[in-house]
Amino acid sequence: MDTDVRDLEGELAPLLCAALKGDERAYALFLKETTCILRSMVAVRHSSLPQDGQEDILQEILMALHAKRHTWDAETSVLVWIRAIARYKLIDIQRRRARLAHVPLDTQLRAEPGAEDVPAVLAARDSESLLARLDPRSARIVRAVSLEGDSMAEVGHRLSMSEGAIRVALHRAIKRLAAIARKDDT
Amino acid sequence: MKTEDLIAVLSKDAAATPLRPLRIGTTLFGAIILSVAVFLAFAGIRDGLGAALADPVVGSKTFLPFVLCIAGVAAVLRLMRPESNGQIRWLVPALVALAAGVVLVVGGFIAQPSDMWFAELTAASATECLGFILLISVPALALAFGLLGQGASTAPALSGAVLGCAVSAGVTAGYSLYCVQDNPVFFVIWYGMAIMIVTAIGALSGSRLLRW
Repeated sequence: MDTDVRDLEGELAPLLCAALKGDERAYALFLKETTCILRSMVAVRHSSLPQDGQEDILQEILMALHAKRHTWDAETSVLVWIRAIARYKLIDIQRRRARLAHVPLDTQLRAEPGAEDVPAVLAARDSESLLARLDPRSARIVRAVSLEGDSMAEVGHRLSMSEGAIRVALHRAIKRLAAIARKDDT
Repeated sequence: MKTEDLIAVLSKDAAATPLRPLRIGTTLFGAIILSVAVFLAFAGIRDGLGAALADPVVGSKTFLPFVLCIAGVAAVLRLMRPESNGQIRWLVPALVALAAGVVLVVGGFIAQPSDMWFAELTAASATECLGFILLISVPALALAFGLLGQGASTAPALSGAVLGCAVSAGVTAGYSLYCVQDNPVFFVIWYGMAIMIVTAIGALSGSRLLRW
């Protein structure tokens, strides 16, 4: 808990506003801050789950938030909006899980910590198995953007695609990832 | 996947066009008007429409569903935002319309001799009324669900129900321009029935189609 009272609303609203206009850095900051809020919401509701299981849920909520980012009304509170989406997804996920309460969670990944990210929180789904379920080109784009941190222009240059085409491909890949996350959970 | 990697991916896909409720609402009305216009082009408009609309009781068979349609569309557009969840106030217009319907039926009972009450309530006329309203509502409703999918309703079944109510009320207002049954006992019961059926269809479809 922060001792100084932070004006989260005042920080997040302009960030999301800029993000919707295409500011990628603002969006990254917005998502990072939002992740903190979401992580504590998930922890409260799913306290019995191991951390990687909680992280899966968090990621599903993040992807839902992303898919519905255009539904924020700039006139209303962004925090209320975030919590409404998180609450809806949490209930949705809980209902789905209640139906398969006996499926054991795959916690194997926790037993093999990678050398460099022992402290980093891992989700149960590792990147490579997730990317293997995308078509090869989408997987390359996602890998380049996330793991290697390349800019869209660099990726476009490397795959000899226009930046616009890369953006469209990435947009579709994210939708696909969200669908995979939902399906895995059922 | 690490959450920070996911954030890196998502952040590259930042830009999005904010929801435009006004545009969606206009398209929604357009869909309803178009469906009704196609029907009226084939079926034609009733005789003495002006006089019927001027009569407060007969005119209410057009104005009451029309107002319900406007209120329903306004509510459904609000419900596209995740923060507006299932609250009782969304049901107020429907309850007001229901009350007005009851008043009209009771008024019809009082104004007419009892042998006239159900005189027009034949199987054929009821089927025509119900059948046409349902038939015109279905394509408009299908299109309307497509529009609503852009939103993020956190009460999918309620949103679907309100949408079904709004669309069928709009269609009913249009259908009333053709219908010559001016007995309030008749039109309140059958119009109301048609709207309730489409509302139920909307609720069922909403709980499936509007989930995300």
